[in-house]
Amino acid sequence: MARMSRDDYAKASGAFGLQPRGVDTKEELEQVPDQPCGLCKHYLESAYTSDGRGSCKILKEGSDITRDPPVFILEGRNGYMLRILTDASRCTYYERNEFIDKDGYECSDPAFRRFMRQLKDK
Amino acid sequence: MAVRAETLKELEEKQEWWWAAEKKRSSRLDYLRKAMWKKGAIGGLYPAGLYIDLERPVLQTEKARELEFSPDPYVIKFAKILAHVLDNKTIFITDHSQLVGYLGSQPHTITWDPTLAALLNHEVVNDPTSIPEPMDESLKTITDVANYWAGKSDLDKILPHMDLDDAMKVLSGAIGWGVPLSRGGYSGKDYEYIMSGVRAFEDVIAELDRKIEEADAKAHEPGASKEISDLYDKMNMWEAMKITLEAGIRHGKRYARLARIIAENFETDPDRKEELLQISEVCERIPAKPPRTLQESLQYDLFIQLFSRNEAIEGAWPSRPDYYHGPYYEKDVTIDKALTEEEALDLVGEFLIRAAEVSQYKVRWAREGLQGIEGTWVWTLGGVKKDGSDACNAMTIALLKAARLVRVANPTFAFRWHPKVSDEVMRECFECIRQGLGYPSMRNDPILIANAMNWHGHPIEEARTWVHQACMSPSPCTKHGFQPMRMANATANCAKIMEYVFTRGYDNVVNMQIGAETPPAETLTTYEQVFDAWVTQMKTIFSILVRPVNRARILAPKMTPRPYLSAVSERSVDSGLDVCDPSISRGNAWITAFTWVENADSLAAIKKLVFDEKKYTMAQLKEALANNWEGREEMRLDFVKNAPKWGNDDDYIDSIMLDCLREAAKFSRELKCPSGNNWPILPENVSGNIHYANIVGALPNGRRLGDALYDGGISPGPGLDKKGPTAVLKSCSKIDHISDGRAFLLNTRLSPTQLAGEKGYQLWKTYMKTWADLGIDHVQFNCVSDETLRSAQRDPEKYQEVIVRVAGYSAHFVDISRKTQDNIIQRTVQGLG
Repeated sequence: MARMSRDDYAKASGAFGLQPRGVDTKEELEQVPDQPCGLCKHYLESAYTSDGRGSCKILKEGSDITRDPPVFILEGRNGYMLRILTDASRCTYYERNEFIDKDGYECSDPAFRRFMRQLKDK
Repeated sequence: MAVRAETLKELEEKQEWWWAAEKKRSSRLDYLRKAMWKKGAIGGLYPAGLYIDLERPVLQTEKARELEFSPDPYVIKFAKILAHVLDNKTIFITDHSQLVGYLGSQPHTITWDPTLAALLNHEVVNDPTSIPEPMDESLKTITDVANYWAGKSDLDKILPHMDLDDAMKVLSGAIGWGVPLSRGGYSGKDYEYIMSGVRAFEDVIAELDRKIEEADAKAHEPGASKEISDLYDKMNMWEAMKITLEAGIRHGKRYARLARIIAENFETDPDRKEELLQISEVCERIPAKPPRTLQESLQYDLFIQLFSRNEAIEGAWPSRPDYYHGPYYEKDVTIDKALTEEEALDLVGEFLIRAAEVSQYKVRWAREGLQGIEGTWVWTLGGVKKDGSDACNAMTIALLKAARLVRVANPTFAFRWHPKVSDEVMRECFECIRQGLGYPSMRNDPILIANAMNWHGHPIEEARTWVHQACMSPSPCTKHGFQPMRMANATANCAKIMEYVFTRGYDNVVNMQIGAETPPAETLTTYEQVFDAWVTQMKTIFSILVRPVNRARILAPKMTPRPYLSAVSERSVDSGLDVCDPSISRGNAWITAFTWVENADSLAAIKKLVFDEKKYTMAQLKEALANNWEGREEMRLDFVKNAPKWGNDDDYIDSIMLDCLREAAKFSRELKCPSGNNWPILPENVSGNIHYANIVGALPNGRRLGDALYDGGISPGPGLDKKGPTAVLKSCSKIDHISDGRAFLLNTRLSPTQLAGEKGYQLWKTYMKTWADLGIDHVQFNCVSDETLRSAQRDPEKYQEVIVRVAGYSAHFVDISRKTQDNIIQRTVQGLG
């Protein structure tokens, strides 16, 4: 990546997505979108997914599914960083995951995404 | 837990050690052990009944808000926040206990430090099991605290000063774990300064007062210089240190007052009343003045550790309890006869329980990597004194006996074996292993002392003071030798080195270009070219992990100082510099190498099947790996069964292992820490082999994405060491344990039947002699039968107390995930003799 200002770099690379700026109010926090990225087949968990971070298996950096109309970038060096509760209602690549087990006890089991408190009823 | 009807002898014959311990221990230890809340995560989640303690984050936040516009420099504000917590947190005394102190406000709470990282705070918000009721109210508190610290946390301060490209790669979680912070990792301690018995907090405060007075006088003499300018910062640092020590003394006195109030107003049992008054007397003195008795010494140690955990999240507990408490044990039990052996055992056993209870909220990847425990409390026993004589004492034996009575999984012990260790002490070590504790792990003291001198240049007297800074890694506890913070993100997921050779450094799991863009695998026409690509990827990954740590160590003194840890460290009291300042440290860094052996097994498979026998092409292999071996099962089995595997005394693969280690060792001397010292590698795993199972793609050793990785260090793959224990030792002995790396973890499973009785001890001793003669630095044992472990999987309720050695630590079998349980059962049981 060409040298650019740290702010521009951070925005382009999704670095801000890695370190949350803060949390919303309790009321906002409880609003889980109907189509959260965390329940999509294409959501890629990293070792740090449990705090909400992940990336998309299909979309590349520069994409923005929260905009209207959304921006889909399919070519690029790095994946599109997003969060487990990102609203994916505008994403045409969304495919809801089918979970196999019900208790999700195992670590390293994709089902642990539901261990995000907000996703457990989804 | 009901008491079993069988006699002690019957239980011991059946090797049901956990029930036998219940019968053997005193009623006090039995009560305290059962009153203990286990804090280790089960799999990756905190067990039911544990809750996040909101008192401390609220105290921290209210003080931070109050000080926001104060003219105090940051380090003093931080010290005042710490003091505010110690002055105001809820304290309690457990019934029948003789030692006091806990991090949380209640025994079943896990403390949360919101000052560290917003990502940790987000995880608290999202936690599915540990938010206290009423949840609505708790969530309001949590979001308020988390929002306050967003943008102000340590990671927020450090991250803008990092190389963002490196930071992105580290924080992806693919190649390493942890964050480069001075207040989150593994803190060493300057025990030679603070635990030697010649000084305590009041003495250090007097020294700090002298320093401040002298500096103040110098700063106001006619003249100006950089040295004078620097004094202003130093005076602030000394002042901050003093604030934390004074708060520590006040905290001790709060316990003294509470114990006295209970004794004088509420306690009806005269014996217990006496004990409470004794606690009160101890805490009036400790930590202000040096200890005089075993109880005071243990209480002093406990306070030192707890205060440090009020300042930082410490994932380890470096300690040498027999060495530092031994003189008090000898005095109380042998010389003054103030305590009987049984009374002393009660104190020592309780000390283990108090340590086992300590817990701090950690992110899920850390909980998964340390399933079943709160952190790696690996306490160091045995070894030699500074003059080279045997350091074992009566406290060594008391600790080993107490461990068998209380059977906590954490702390565990690691024993520094050397040729002068007595048979009596060896028998005590063996008894712990035979009774299935999984500890002590055995460390080769002469080898590791030579290793410390070789890699980090520690003088021999200092090298001889070494303790385990985490699971495996030796660090002296001297003024310039101890490492104040081992930042955990220099932990390499080494299987990625091999994976990236086939993906040109692109990580398909986290969707990022992380490794080097080495030539496409299908264009590599010789094994040497493959190995060159492997070396390039290894260097790239290690560098990405080490650079942020170096950067954070340089930034830490100003941005994330540790006034309390500095106050108990001679280097900082002397210099007025933060304990993490690289200029006052010799350096003792290391790269933990998770998932290492997969590389040797994979390279050997490529060499044999692709280049020697030409059964497959690199293009075919690349395609098979990209598709996770799907549709290529026959080929996969060829790579599993017909390629040489590490641990069978086979020079074909053992030489490849040495090539890998020596390339890494060579590069380790090019990687420098901010103190100018080396970054050797240290292969070991904790339970990272399970955590990374879904993060490492298919590998040429026949592993598929999702399969558990090997259990780590230089341990052969489970079930792949087919030629017996001597072949394993011989493979391991080809490594130079002084110069090829900092230490090498070796897991071994032994049969409990074979270890029964005197014959069992003699067999084990012969094995240990071979191990020592071959110059191997580490070995640890699991000694629980498949039958017991399978039964524990079927009926976990009946086997709550079965302990196993996971990696550099032990855990209760029922507290680790099914995948980890299976991985332990799969390990080869080695027959001795």
